[in-house]
Amino acid sequence: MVLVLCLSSCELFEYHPYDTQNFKKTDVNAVNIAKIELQDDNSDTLRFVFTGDSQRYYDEIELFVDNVNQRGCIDFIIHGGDITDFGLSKEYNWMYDILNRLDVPFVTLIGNHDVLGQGKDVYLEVFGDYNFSFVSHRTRFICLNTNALEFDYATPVPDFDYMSGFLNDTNGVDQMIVVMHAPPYSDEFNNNSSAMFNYIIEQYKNVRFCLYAHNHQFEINDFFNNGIEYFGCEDISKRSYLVFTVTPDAFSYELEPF
Amino acid sequence: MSSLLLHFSAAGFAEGDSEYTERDIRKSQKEEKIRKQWARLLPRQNKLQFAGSMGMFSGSFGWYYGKKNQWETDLFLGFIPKMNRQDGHVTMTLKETYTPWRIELNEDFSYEPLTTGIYINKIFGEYFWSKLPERYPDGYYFWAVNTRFNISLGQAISFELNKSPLFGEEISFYYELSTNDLYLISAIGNRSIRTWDIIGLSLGIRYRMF
Repeated sequence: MVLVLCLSSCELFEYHPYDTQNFKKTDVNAVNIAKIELQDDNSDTLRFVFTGDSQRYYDEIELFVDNVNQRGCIDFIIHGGDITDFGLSKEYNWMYDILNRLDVPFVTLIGNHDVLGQGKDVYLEVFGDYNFSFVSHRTRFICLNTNALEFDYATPVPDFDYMSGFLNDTNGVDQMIVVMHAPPYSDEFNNNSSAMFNYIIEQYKNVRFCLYAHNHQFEINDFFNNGIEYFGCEDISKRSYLVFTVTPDAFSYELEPF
Repeated sequence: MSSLLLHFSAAGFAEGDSEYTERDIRKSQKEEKIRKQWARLLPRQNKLQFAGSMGMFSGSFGWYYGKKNQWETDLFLGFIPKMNRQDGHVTMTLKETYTPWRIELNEDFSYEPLTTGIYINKIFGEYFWSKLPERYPDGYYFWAVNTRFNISLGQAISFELNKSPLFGEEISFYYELSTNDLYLISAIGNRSIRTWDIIGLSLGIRYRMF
């Protein structure tokens, strides 16, 4: 029995590629959000990097990490999901190891590929809840699981209860940015809920814009013709990322090649 | 008239009897032949393995065959215990092993310096499908989530049981290094994924009954 315990603690012994154990780090998002919220954010200029869809592009994400570290002047990084291709535990480990070399905190949304097999449980283990939020520079970031095609009705996707929790979110918050993996009207989104999804976002206090990954290309859409722009990022293999600079009066973005 | 009838009937009976016996012999010969043929299908070895991406523990029955018994086919049933967030799961594995050499160390021990294997593993469970569920657009995901194709390399050491009080032919201890299709796909084209990143280790016991 002792032998079995010793053996099972060793990473070389794999019971199955979708195991939910042997992770060096758990609750990564909560840990990094704590770091973000401890940052000095008195300046009125918020600058962050948005990227996504890094599945199986390990060499490219290493270059990305080097590039962002060299660049500096970034508050944090948001990964829009699909850090794995197959939802395998090893993929989570590999990607975490690389992203962990970032000099600034990073948060990672769940993408549809990350859900596969037991991947959804691995995500809960390594990163935390599917929906999460944080505040930086008086800006509320709401990160949502929109991978409806991967879940059954036991998991609400998108989770309107969670979204509604921010309707009266005015304490210390001037504006909102909503982040998701799959955008409305994509094959992955629950499109029967698009109108309600948009309705809740419209009620939020001063929504600046929305962000998504999934489509693997740079896009700007006003899906609901209401002036709320949705920005989609290229996948990591295209060697670019988005840098957003947000001030109380305006925001700008750069498509940064690396 | 009556004697003729008796004679006739006796002859008839005798003839029938010998025909019956011959038929009986043929029948039992045939039966024996069929039994022998089926007996060849009887599994002749069992394995018990720890890890190897096919369960925490998996047990098998199987066959060894070929001129130098260099081929093995085994069917495993494995289980993954409930742990962390993960439910318990059952897996099934079909494995083919080829062992090119076997070195006799002495009367009791022999050594297999290289064992090579390929195996297909299926895991059973709600989230593990083999065919893309209907709700997805065609070709949304290209691989079967429940099926993994693995390759392995290993070594074994065997102990003859012929002279020992233990019933059976021999008992062997082996280890294997293995990887699977999705790990290989991930490693190809990525210099940052090194060989040891995609390799797993397993340990096992093989028992040959006859």
